[in-house]
Amino acid sequence: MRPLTLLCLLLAACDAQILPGGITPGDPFGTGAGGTGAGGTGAGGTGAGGTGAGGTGAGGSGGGDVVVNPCDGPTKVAVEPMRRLSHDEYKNSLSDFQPSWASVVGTQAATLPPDTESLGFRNSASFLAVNATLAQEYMDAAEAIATQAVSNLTTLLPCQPANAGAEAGCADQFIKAFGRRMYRHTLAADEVARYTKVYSDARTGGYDFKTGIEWVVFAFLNSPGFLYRVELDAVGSSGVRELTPLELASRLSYLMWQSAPDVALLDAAEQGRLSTRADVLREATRMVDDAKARRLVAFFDQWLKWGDLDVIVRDSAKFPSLPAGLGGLMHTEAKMFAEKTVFDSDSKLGSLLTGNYTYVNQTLAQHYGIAGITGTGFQRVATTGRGGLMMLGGNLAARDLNTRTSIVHRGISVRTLFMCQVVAAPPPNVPALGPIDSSLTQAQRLAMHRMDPTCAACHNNIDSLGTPFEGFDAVGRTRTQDEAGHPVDTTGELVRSKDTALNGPVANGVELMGKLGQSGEVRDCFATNLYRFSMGRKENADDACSTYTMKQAFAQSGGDVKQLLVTLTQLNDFDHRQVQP
Amino acid sequence: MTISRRNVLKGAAGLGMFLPALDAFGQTAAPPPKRAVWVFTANGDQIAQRFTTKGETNFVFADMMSPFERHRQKLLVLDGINKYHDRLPAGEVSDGHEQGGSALAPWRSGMGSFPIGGTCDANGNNCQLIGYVKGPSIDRAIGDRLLMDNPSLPYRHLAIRVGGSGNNIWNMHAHAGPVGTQAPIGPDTNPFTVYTRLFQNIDTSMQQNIARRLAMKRSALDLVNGELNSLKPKVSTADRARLEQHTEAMRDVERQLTATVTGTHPACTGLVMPAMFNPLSDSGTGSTHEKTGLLFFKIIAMSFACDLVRTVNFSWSGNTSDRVYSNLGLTEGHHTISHFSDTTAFGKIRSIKKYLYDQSTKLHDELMALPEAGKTVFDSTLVMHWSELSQGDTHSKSQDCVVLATGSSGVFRTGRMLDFNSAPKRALSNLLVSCWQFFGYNDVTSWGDPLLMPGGTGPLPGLV
Repeated sequence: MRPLTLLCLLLAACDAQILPGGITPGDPFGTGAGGTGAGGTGAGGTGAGGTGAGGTGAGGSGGGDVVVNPCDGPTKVAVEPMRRLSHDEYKNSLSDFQPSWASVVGTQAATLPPDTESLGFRNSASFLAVNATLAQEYMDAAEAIATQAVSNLTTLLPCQPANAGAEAGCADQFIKAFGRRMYRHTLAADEVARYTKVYSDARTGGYDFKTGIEWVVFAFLNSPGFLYRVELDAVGSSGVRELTPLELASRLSYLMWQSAPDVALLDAAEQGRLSTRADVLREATRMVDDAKARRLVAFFDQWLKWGDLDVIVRDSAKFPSLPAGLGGLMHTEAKMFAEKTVFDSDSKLGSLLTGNYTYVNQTLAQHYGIAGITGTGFQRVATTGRGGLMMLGGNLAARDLNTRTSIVHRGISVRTLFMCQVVAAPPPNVPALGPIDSSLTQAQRLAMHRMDPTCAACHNNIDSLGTPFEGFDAVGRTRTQDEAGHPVDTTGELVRSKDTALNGPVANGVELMGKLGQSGEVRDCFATNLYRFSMGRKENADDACSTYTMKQAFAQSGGDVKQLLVTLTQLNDFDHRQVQP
Repeated sequence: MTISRRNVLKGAAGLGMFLPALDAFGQTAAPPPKRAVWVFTANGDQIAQRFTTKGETNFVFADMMSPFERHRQKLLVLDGINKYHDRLPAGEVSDGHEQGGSALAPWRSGMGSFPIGGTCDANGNNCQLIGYVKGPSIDRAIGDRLLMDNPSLPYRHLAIRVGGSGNNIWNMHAHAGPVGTQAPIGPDTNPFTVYTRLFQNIDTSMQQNIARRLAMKRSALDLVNGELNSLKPKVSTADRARLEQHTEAMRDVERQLTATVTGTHPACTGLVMPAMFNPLSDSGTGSTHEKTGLLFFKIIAMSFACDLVRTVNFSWSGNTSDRVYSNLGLTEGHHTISHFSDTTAFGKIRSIKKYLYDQSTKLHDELMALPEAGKTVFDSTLVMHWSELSQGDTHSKSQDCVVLATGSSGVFRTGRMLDFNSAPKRALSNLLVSCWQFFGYNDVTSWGDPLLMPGGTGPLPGLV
């Protein structure tokens, strides 16, 4: 077991700011809110773990009981499904290997059938299988990429055969060099032999050297060794084991860059420089500042469901004269806000939730009514009356409808995506709605809806989290009147937050997000979401130590997202493995 | 368009074109294979506005259903079918659209994926998120059985959706199973991709370098299979199951790569595909929705005529579709409208349904246009038109209207309407048993979780 004390020695965030007991000054919350069952506030336990001031009763189910530090006892990690590359990982692995392939790889990856969503993400390991359709699509993609690959043999090959007699040797060199990158390890002899056979199949079939190389590339891109991140346990072993350096290299690279390890990382692993948690910390700290770490934007894009913004439509009568491509512009704005807040600003969750700035170009600025911005490039502007992820025009519009805002969908997104709470399903056979009184606002109609107890059970938890955003229309602009000309009412209420002291009325979206910005529940929820995206699965009881440690560290860092990425590489879940039955 | 018949039975080539009822040896040919298409339209309809008159043979369609009238002698119209999802225990009930949309796979839902539905403890902790259904959809399960009985059948089934929204719990209608496993199947959304995949080995216009390409793929297939076999003993049981699925996929691919037209299929001519368009270019109001769906119908019909596949799970959209039918003069999305109970809203719902039914019957036309064994492909095909809900505003699933269409296959007595509203406990699952029996699989008497068949096993009575 590697207790949190060690983590704190290693993590830059765990510095002198940490008070005894592990709470950062000014942090009003206890630890473990909404956790994995280990939550609640606890008395000072071992090392820096397991304590909390619990100022606002954010303790979740623990409720002030003395809890056992989930990191006490033997190291536990959950059984993890083998991970198939997500389509993003497939694309990045190949594009990073050979940047000149980026175009063809991007085109081909975009045609792969979208993977099954789970937990909001398209990289959930247990759902990433290879069925017949995907197998055929992988083949089509591999054909196109292999054709591109052999169009420039000089670049591709580590050798140039001077004559026919040198071709087999060169093919062997290529198999080993290319294979190390595709399989993320130096190929074993039996692995090399499989590709030698493919090359031989081509040559004995009467095809030339170039075709032989093409077949080898094609086979690699369809192979389990490339498509799966294989971690094998020793025969007959059991229990929890530490990962090998090469396994760590792959996990690290796919977590930080959503891509295969580069040569430097493979070298480090194979030369004994990626063996300890400190080694991993060193590399993670380097990698998080590399441009490739900015692919984290894909996490925000999936978590907050911005994917359909590019093709969003609005009723032209209700919303006349919208700029062409508005959805795409708002999508760019949203992604830039996330990327720049994490990587070019203070990287704090608080800024993501409430930061009073955004990024617009001239067209988008005019749409929002912001003066003084010219040109097609996006630039940072200060905002008033709005700020943070939730109130980005695109984030709101992604919830809205063709003719109007959707209080319900906006509210659901706050409760499920930011608070990680479950919304009950609408029951079957609900009563029919009465006639619509079109003189009422959407909020007033929902209020009537809630008078029916069947409806109220759910809508009481949803609607008041959506009304605070009524000051923004269905295309992200501020407004004072709704679609029917009623004055907008932006009052709402935070209800059923586990941070009970925060529950209460709010005047508008800024107040609501201000409360959520102080919420331990929201902070833990964000960390949990990033954990799920990074690990490709849902946390469970065997992950208690890791998720507890992660939430502690995230709180102590003041909600630093880059630090959280690094923290994820310092968990038992990251560098240990439950030997599989 | 020319179809390659390289492996046609010796002596049958050519003759088969002219003697469709006879095989190569002058024997009476086996009857054409049975096929089925499940056609999904979203958000239910208006229960009270399906018929102006009910009655087994003298029923009169109301306006919403009127597009079906021209094929009424080919129809078996079933009213009052119940999905019985309200019998599921608390915690296993998810959003009605979701469970309703998975009704071709009437198994209990698993856990772990979506925050609408599911349960938490009293403090809101330890939430169990709802998941996908734990078992196969009927299109896939029948396809698996057909493959067992016809080992050269290239495709087990097709899952097709018009429109590109994400593959989440509201959009996935096909499931691979096996029972106990959450394994939703992402549908195909691009007709051009599907046509190429299905016909690349038999449509001679797509056979540049075919031998070379095939040799490359076969060599890679050997490698992939070898590696899978090497890995499987070394991984966990759960991972091994996924690698087995991969192995099965490679077997499918191998069969598909060498698919040929054998036997007598005079209508198997291939298609002249239209100029390429982006089928995903309009999530909302554009025109590609209709032409994508109709192009898929042509591909489905032709793939039946060539006996490439026999079951298809087709959806005009995902569940809960909020598509804006601007072509009907509407400005609000389909799902948004469906949540209202006023006269205006229902009028709009009926117009959407009427439009979609009108499009859907064009599948019947495509199938009827392809001659086979003295009849048409439609005569051996079952088309089932269904929705995830009975009616949208109430989220009800107890009074579905399901329309079966089939030619003179002799299995179901058509030209009739059956009203199950007064015959309780007749479940959609019983109807799906009837679908199994359409294929001759009379040994299948139960489909899905028994909880969803409260009236007992067996087919829906009165169909045959």
